[in-house]
Amino acid sequence: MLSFTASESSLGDVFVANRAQLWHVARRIVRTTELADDVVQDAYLRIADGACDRKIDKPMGYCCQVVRNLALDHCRRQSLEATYRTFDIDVETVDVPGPPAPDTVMRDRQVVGLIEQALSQLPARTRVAFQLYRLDGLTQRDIAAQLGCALGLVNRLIAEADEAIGAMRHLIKD
Amino acid sequence: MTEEQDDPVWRAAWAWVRREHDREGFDEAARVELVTWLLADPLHRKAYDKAARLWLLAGLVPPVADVEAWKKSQARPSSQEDA
Repeated sequence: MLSFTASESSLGDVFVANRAQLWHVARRIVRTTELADDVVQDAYLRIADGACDRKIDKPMGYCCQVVRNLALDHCRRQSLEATYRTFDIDVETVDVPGPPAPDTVMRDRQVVGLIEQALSQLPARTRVAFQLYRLDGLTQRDIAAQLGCALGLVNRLIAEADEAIGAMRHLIKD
Repeated sequence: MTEEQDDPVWRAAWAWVRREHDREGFDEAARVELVTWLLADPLHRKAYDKAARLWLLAGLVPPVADVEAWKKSQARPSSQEDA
């Protein structure tokens, strides 16, 4: 359900208008232009058509976040498959390349909403630290510098957010 | 604490995903160690894929906190340490 008013451009519109820039965000992370195309397409499917019920303050920032995190996940899978090959093992492709199925997008969207709810129960400081860490990709050291607090405290805050997310494990289907 | 959270395979899988995210020091040797663990039992791979998916989806949560505003509020001398 879209909650945007007609005068505001939707996330999908922002994505389309900035597609070239978003492609470059992906391309800086993944190895090939084809993979960058895949990541952008995947991100678009997740973002278009009411990815989020509430209004997002910085729509382009959110688009970049989705592209970057999907691209990093692609890289993770690729590095893992490369290591599998050094073991002389045929990698069974776990995720079929190409765009995610519509029901996967729907299901993922629900899970994202539930994780968001779980995170919203945490203290503000924990949410800020987690946001810098997971959404903006800062290291725990950078976060300590940004927030002007000890690294040990940042470690604890991230661990707290981790715990809350790990508890949502049952939401991921086999 | 639920039984699920106590599951040592899940704990290990989650720890691997978190180590990968931190990247610092997650080199080829670490990756080989990870794959060795994944190959030890099909359940390991299953738990790992689940953990990686959960972590990815956590990265798609839209930002809520206004970090700058929060930092300013913390900088005020009257602000209280809340933990």
